[in-house]
Amino acid sequence: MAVGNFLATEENIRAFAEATGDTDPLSIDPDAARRAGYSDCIAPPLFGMKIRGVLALPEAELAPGLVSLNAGLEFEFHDEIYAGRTYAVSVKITDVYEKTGRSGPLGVFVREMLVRDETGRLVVLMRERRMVRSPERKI
Amino acid sequence: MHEQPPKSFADIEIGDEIGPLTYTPTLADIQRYAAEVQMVDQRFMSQEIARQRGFQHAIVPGPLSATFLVRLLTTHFPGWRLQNLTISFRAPVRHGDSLTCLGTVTQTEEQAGTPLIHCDLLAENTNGDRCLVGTAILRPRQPGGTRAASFHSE
Repeated sequence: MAVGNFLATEENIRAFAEATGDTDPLSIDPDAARRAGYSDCIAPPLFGMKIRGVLALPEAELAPGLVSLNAGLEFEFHDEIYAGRTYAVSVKITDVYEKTGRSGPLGVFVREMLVRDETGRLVVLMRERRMVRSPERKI
Repeated sequence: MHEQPPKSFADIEIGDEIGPLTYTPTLADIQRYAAEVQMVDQRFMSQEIARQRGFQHAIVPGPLSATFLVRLLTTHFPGWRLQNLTISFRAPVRHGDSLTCLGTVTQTEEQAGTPLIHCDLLAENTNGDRCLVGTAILRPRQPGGTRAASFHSE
């Protein structure tokens, strides 16, 4: 499902870098990025979390009383995300299953976010695995 | 971080240790990250709301902790970028926890002329709980798609 376009800018890349304590000059200093051969700043690797948040990717609805936890993240980075470029973002649920964990039965769903450049080429794939469980066992 | 020369592929060996780097995210750090990624779930910011939602403690968002592991790699391997990253969140990181981030080079190889570095990753708290574990593959940065060859000669 296509969820929208995201414009990467020097400002939103710098803001994400600063919020995560990333001082890589390639992300916060356009001149440093150009000296290194890039056209503009490039985003820190986990910038996909910013895209996810801004586009408010749809969350799976949970039954009352259930909570979800982030169980894991996987990324495939096919290219950098550059300031000044617009990326098309789509998302899909790729798997739903049950398993038994230390705290008893769990539901797991896997969601993929695909970030493509203007030519349609895949730039980043982010796969997010979330556990759903009853809150009876506290962590 | 200052601009650093690329780390040479020839200088990277299996078994090389990466880090450690230690981070102690503060509530302000978490709030800033949450605002940046437009996180609406207040359970990460408030002990009270965390307890209302069935948690014993407010915890640090997993992706924020994952950024520390990423920084471990990007500071250790200047001139390289991530190709793949897998992180599993094994135990919650509570507010106030210090995370020690470590890595180990597990494999080096060339695929179609591109050097690759494989790493195992770990972030543990002061109790020794393995809160995050992961793997990563890095490849040389290629601004403009022209720089890969330089890594073979350095």
